[in-house]
Amino acid sequence: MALSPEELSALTSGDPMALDQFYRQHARRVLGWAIRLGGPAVDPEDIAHEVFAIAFRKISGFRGEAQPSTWLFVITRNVVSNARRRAAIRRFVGLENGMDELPSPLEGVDENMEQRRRRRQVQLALEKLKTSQREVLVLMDLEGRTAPEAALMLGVPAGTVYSRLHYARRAFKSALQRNGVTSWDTSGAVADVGGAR
Amino acid sequence: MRPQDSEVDALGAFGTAALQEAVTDATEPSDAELERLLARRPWTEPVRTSRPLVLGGLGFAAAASALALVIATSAPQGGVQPVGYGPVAMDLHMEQALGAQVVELGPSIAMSGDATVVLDQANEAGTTLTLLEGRAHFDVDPNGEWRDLAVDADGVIVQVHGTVFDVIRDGDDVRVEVERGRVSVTWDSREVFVTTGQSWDRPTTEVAAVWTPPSDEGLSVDLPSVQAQPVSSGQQAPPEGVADDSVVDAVPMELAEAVDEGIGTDEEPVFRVREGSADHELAQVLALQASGIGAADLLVETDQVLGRHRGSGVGTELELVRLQTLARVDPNLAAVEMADWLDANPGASRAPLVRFERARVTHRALGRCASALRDYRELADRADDIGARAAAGAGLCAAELGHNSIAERYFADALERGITGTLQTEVQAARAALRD
Repeated sequence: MALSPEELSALTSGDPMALDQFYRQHARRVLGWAIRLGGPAVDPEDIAHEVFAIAFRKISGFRGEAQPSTWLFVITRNVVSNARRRAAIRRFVGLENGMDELPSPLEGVDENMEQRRRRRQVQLALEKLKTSQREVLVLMDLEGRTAPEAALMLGVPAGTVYSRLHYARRAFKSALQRNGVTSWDTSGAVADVGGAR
Repeated sequence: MRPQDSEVDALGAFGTAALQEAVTDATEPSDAELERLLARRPWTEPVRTSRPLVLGGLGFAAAASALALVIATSAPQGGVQPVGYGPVAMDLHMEQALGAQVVELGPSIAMSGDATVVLDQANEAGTTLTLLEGRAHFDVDPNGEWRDLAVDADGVIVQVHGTVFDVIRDGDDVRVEVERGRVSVTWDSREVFVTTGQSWDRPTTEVAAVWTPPSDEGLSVDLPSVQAQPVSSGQQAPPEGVADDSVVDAVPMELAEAVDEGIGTDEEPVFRVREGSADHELAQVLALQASGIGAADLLVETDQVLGRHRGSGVGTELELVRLQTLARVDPNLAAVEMADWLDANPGASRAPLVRFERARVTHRALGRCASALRDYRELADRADDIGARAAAGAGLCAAELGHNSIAERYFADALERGITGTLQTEVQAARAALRD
């Protein structure tokens, strides 16, 4: 939803209440992007935190021409890209093994073990996609956006979005099968299906 | 022809709507994650204060206070008016001779020497000056403001962000001597890095020096062969008391070549890291950490890079490296800095790791088990590897303090959670001693 002139003015002037409202309104969405686009080797909360830190540093320059979510998505893409690169560097120099070294806040005792396992399986499947395909699939199939919406957020023509989605789905389906996700019990019961860990 | 909507729909990856929903749900943020994120409030981040360096401490303060001489006050032309520290001590764009005086070029750069220079710019965007003749000595605070400095000596550009070095020009001969830190020297579209104790002379002939890569012993990765680099000539022995940085410089340079080729495998994306980028610098530091070099060398290098990246994601990674390394050099200061870090970053996802490191240094290096036990016990509630290691630490501390039943519980917990290596051996021995 576009910002009203009053909301935009309050945000760009750094009004704490407006910033807080904006933060609460978009935090879950940005955190979701961080989980789905960032993969298992990066910390989604750190990603989301950095996205908003950047957004609030630059908010005085936000003219409100784009949807706030589109603007935040662009920032998220960049932050995710940087974080993934840093994680790859750590693996490269041998400071991290595979994709499970980073202690995640999800590993706290208050979290559901099965939820954690499932998330990891999906993240590993998403890792098999090219970045451009992953972005399209996340926006359209996991978040339910239309192709024109995704095209606007990604800055590409709708035809490109369709094309990427086509290949993304094919690759994702195969990856889900390999990771045991397609054998999940989706009736509500939790099934122990193994899969990648 | 692109697929139509209906065709795309038919290509769904999930098969059933239920599976699609389950996959979506699996990657939805949990309420706990969202609450933690909301508590962080990025627009009220505490301001991080720079701390004095432990090693490679600057002589800047002393130098600046010794003979600071204000020649004239002049606002930079077209630049930002200097504020907050006193006047820039030179006129801009005027040829000036340095005498026996220290000139402050902003809050972080002190210059002295027997030289003739022209100050081209001095503001928060950076300080640039031209060395016309003579030897100029620079002391740049790597953690200070306005620390970016470029010196042009007859087309040889020396760039720094915090170090101590000299540039000498005698006609066409240009020499750079680095007392501490690392500077970039660019000439004729070529670049070298000159580090602590090294000097560099502009080549008079185009002789490509061949750099022999150092042993990669200690590196846990196979590095590709390295292209020959123009290297510093006239390398001198480092001054007494200063670590020889040849390894410090060489290992990351080698890695940097590998990184430039892209890192990754067939199973994961290949990332390209641009030369000179923040990630490139981070890779260099992490490579040093992985190579197992001395803590003092690593700390100096980390501090220098950190000075340029505080507040960013790279900066956070570097802060962790710094704290871990500092613990090996000065445990007392490390414990204090870790406490400061935790105060400044209460909700950070890296906070448990830092807290564990604080407990470990308090316990192992400082021998304060009672303090360490508090951290250990709270961390032991975590279900991850940090929790398991904290349980082991809690057991060891409890045993040392004579709380045997508590120690036994933590020992059992740690072993059940699968601690390995020397920690496992230590816990097993301590447990056996308890039972004896």
